[in-house]
Amino acid sequence: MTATVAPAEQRPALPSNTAVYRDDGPLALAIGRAAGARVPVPAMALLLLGAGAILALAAFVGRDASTGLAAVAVAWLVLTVGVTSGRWPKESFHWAVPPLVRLAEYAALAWLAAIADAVPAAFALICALTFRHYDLVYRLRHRAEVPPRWLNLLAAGWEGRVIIAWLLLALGALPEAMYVWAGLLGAVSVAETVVAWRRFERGRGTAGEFDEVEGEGE
Amino acid sequence: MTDTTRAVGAPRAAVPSGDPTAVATAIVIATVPAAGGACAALLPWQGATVLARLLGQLAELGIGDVRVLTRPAFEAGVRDVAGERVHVAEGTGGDLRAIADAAGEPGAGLVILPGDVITHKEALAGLLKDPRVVTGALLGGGWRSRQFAFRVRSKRGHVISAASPYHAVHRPTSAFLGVLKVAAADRPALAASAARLAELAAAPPEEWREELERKRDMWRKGLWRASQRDGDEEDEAEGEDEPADDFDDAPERDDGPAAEDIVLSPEDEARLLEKLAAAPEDTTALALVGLVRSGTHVGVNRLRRLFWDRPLSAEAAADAELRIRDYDEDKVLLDSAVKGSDGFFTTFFVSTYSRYIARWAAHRGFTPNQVTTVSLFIGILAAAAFATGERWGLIAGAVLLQAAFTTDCVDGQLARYTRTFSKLGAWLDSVFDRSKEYLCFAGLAIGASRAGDPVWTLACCALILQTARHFSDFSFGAGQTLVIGATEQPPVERSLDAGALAAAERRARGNGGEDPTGSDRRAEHEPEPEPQPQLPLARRMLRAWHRIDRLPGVRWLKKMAAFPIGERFAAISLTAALFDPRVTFVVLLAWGGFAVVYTLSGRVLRSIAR
Repeated sequence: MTATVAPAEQRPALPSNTAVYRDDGPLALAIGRAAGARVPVPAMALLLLGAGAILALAAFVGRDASTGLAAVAVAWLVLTVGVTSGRWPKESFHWAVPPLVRLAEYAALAWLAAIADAVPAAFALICALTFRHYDLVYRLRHRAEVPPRWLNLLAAGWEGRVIIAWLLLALGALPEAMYVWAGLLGAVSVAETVVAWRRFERGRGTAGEFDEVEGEGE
Repeated sequence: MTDTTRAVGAPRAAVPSGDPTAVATAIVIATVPAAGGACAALLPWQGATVLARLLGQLAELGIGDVRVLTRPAFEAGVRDVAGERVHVAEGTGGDLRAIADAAGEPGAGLVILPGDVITHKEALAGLLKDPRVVTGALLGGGWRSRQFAFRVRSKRGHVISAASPYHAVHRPTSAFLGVLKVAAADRPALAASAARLAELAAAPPEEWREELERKRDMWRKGLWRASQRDGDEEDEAEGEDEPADDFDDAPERDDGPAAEDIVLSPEDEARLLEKLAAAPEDTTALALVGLVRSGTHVGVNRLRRLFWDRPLSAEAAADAELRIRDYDEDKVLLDSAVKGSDGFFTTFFVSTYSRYIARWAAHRGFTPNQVTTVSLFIGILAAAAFATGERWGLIAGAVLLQAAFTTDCVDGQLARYTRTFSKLGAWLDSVFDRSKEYLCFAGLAIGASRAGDPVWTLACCALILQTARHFSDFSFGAGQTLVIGATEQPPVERSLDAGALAAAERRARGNGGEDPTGSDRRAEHEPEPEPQPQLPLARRMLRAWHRIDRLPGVRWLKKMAAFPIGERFAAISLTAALFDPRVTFVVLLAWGGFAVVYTLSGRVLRSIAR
């Protein structure tokens, strides 16, 4: 394969790809800053404990879970995985972090919706989120950009979304509110992407790569 | 987190608007002497000369500013071909100064190439017209037919070490074919490194002289070894371009008699003499060494299965004229438009015919982005058909999804065939692929609900599994790019490259402080056995894992196990058409789950071994 790394213009250093892929919101970052250095548990263990708890509850308790149990699970997830935003495993294992965060987030959203018998709404929300998350990867790759701050705040981060989903469950607003949420998030994400591409093409940016990355199996 | 720099290349000078990789200037070096003191660039070619052919190719590629460097002895002949564009230089130092001056002017990209190179226009276009290659070199494999070409070592698509008459490469991976493209942003780097090389060429360091002598011995041995082999074996490597970065079987292994004991046939002796006279004139190789040693990112562009030669006698040129007739440029271009890293299903069941659709689309003037968009629409139709929940809908959806996948393969092949690459196109391709897949999930789930068998939970699980799998791929890929890092480059005064110097140091430590440079004069000969301490378990397992790739079919089985897009779309179509959505999602989850275990264990092993 040919080399595909094009020159970047002078630009501030971007955070590492894996940090961007995590899609942390303000709360997770705050937890990471406050406790990341102090909690004496390896980052990988925290991630597995956080994601594992949600998967186990979804598999074994499923739809029968109470709102209270869901609240405890959400708090556990936000705390454990939140801490890892300030606490990384050793560098050769950084790649394992984003998929675990994604798995935990999506599984939590699907499970919370399932408690209210609203799995199709969760499917819609996750579809809207996949657009955001794939775009995080592809905009870094092809434009060497990260999303604007307002969009990240609007998306609320993985922990914000899980908490909002629990609130909707507690308020009995599922599935309608989740459909509206999915629609809005999807529409705003797509619109922002269209605008960003227009700007990039007008500016004839030289950053970013042309090619897909090899070894992705696609 | 320490790795805050991204792999988007070192910051470079701001580039004026326009394609930053466009080439407007060519510096043709017509200084190489051929047999009998003639100029190699002026060897006869189809009633004209090799140089005239090359200048015609450059004109067809839209390069308006062509300058030809030559020597006083060849000036008259070169002027007959190139007219007023000729610049006479005294010696390699003069060439390098002329290159430095040209590179010092502001302007677009430039290309440096020898005037005696015979290749297809497509080979030049592949390097010069590809916006993905910023600054890059044309490389090829085929040791046997290219024993005189200077070697390079490349890693992950960029040149990390290059050879010249005066520079050696430790463990080379391919041959430099003389064509060097320098992007506008790298002109200052070229100017500086060429100026430095010009100074050195005027008063060559002792190391350089020794290295040229070593090259003579190396070529002598290479010719002797070639004469020991069968004639047909020699043809096999013609035009061969092995992308595998592994030349363990390079002809310069250190076996056989010593160079001074070898008696060559008169023809080979004549060829060696021709080459020895020509080698010091190889300014493009020096320019490449200068760029690489200055830390410039030099990309790799491969010859593919095209013809390439640099004849040094009229007989060799006549022979090249005969051999080039056997090549079909368009077929090579079309074949190389197919991505080599595709999965089994894509390679054998789609790319075999989709390349012809790509060629048809190119002739009809379709753009890759139009094809990508058509593919998305077919995908939406497939999802809508799935959503009916009827048998006919499932069958129609299955067929439409395959049509969408074929057009999806066509867009990339069309882009590569017509070299219309764009970052937006790559983005659209990736995003639309994901959209089609997940829309079909939704369509199948809706259809199943209509048919009275809701599978939303399974659909949700399949969606989550696939996304998590992709994110594992993305993050792992991002980590791999960071690992490459920059190689510390020794200054151009040194003949040995970083790898050879490191090897010499290791050996000096092992041999109790023997003269490091003296003991490693054969750096380029043999990939000298690295010290082999007991490897950790993880690394040994990985080695064994890579070794079984040589067994027939294993490579494809491994690709299938990772459940790539072609296999996923085929699984969706088959199960939906023959069974029902529930079966589709169960298969997606089972195969996908197996792929997770499979890829994850490989990645964990690699992370431990690192």
